[in-house]
Amino acid sequence: MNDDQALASYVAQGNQHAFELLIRKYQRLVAHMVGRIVNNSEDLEEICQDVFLKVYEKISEFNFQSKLSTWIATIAYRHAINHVRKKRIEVADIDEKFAERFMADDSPAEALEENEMNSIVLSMIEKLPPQYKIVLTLYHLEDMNYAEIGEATGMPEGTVKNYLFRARQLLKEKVKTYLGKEV
Amino acid sequence: MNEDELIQQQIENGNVPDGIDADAYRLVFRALKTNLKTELPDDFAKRVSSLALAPKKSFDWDKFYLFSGFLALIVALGYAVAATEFAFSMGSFQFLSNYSYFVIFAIVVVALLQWIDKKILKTTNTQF
Repeated sequence: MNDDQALASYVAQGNQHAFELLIRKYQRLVAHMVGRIVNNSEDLEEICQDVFLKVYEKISEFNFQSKLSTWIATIAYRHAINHVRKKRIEVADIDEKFAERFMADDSPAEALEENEMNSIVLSMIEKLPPQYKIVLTLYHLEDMNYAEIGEATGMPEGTVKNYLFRARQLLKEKVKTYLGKEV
Repeated sequence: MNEDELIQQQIENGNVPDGIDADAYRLVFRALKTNLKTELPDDFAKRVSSLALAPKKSFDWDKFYLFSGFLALIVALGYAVAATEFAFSMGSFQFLSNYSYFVIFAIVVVALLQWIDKKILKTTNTQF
């Protein structure tokens, strides 16, 4: 039995301390997932709370067919998507026109230091569609592989790979326009 | 494999090639490793775990008090009607009975306006 299995078992038995540990372990993952889809910071905490209450409710049914983190990420993703649907916020499909809009977005003219560039790239990431942001976050920040991301989001593995590649390529093109102005 | 795929793969393997594309990718990959500012409060874990394990209320006293209050109001109203031999009358609004169709029409129009307003608000999507 690994750490997560032991932890899940204690939580299923109603051990509050174990559940608190589980939340501490996965709250960053859940906040990242939800934060990538829900922009309102007031809603973020409420959704994260609902996610963990659902985790607590369902943990006795979890059979470790996947990693605990993937299962929790799945719940977080569904909760966040349901939230935006309830609020009738449109999650736009990704089309070619998005790339044009993204590239046409304003860029500052002055040359940039690398640490400033980091902030700018982060703001560029924020402008990407939620599907791209989720894939980037799970891959780069949560170290999930394609299969795990696919399981968490319900996207086919090929789509995950494609979104990851396309999002990074778009960001690179955008960064190049900034770098070009430095030369 | 096209050039972009190759550079992305090389950077993932820790080999950053030369060139403006590679430089741009290096900055992108670095930013992607930056933690998000979506922090939850320090007491989040404690609060949520307490909430999840809080004993379920066996009896909802709030609903009981609400229902009791409502019942007491009905009883008091009934008693007051009986004690004062109150007879319901439109009083000064008696004249409205001559314009019943107009009143119904006005209610329908107001309700329709409310409904349209709600619909319009709901279809105003925020795209992110």
